[in-house]
Amino acid sequence: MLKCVLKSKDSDPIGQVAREFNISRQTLFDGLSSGIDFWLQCKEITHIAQAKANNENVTRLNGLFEQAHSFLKNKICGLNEKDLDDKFVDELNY
Amino acid sequence: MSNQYLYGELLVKASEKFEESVLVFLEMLKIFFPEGSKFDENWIPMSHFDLFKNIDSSLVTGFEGSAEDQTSCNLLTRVFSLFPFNQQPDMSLNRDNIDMDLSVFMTYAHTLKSQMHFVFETILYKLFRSDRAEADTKTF
Repeated sequence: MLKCVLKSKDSDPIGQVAREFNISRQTLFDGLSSGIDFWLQCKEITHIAQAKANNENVTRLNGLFEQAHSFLKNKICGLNEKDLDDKFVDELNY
Repeated sequence: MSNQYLYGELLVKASEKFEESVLVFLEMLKIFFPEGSKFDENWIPMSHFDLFKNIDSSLVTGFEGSAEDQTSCNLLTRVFSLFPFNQQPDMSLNRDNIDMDLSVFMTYAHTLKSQMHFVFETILYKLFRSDRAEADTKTF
């Protein structure tokens, strides 16, 4: 569903994907919100992993996570959903 | 901090609802698995790869964009897929929504998860058998 949201060209990607999967918009919104929390936690894990085992693979993985994070942040901010945007404001809490 | 194990540190930090998913993610990190490279014959047994190649391309949900964006999209969807989504009974899925990359990824994730359940059950069993059921996380 995330990939569908990221791909959607609709003016309301969350609503469009929710309709496509026959779920409520709120359900998809909540899922995205929890998913972003989980993503931030996983991103933090890669930072901790790098601190523990500073090797080429971990550094590369960290780079990929940073790249994906920027991509996600751009896409989510493009949805104009303040509650989701705020997740990235609070990301320093992780 | 340097004396703490990554597992213990993360279990303390991880919120309760993410615990199991975080452990699966950690296991995957050991083999550099969540990165966004596409699955190919290096990952998938050849017999499966032949099957994969023969699958109707319309069933492969891709993401159009630069190679970097495609990698990011794969990485994001794989990580997000580790977090269980509350499905609804009348939720529908059509052919266009089948994602082969995620299907292969989730197959490995489920295998890891069931192996981890087995390992943790074995540890717990041994703790009970050795009368150390009151062990705390420090001695676990």
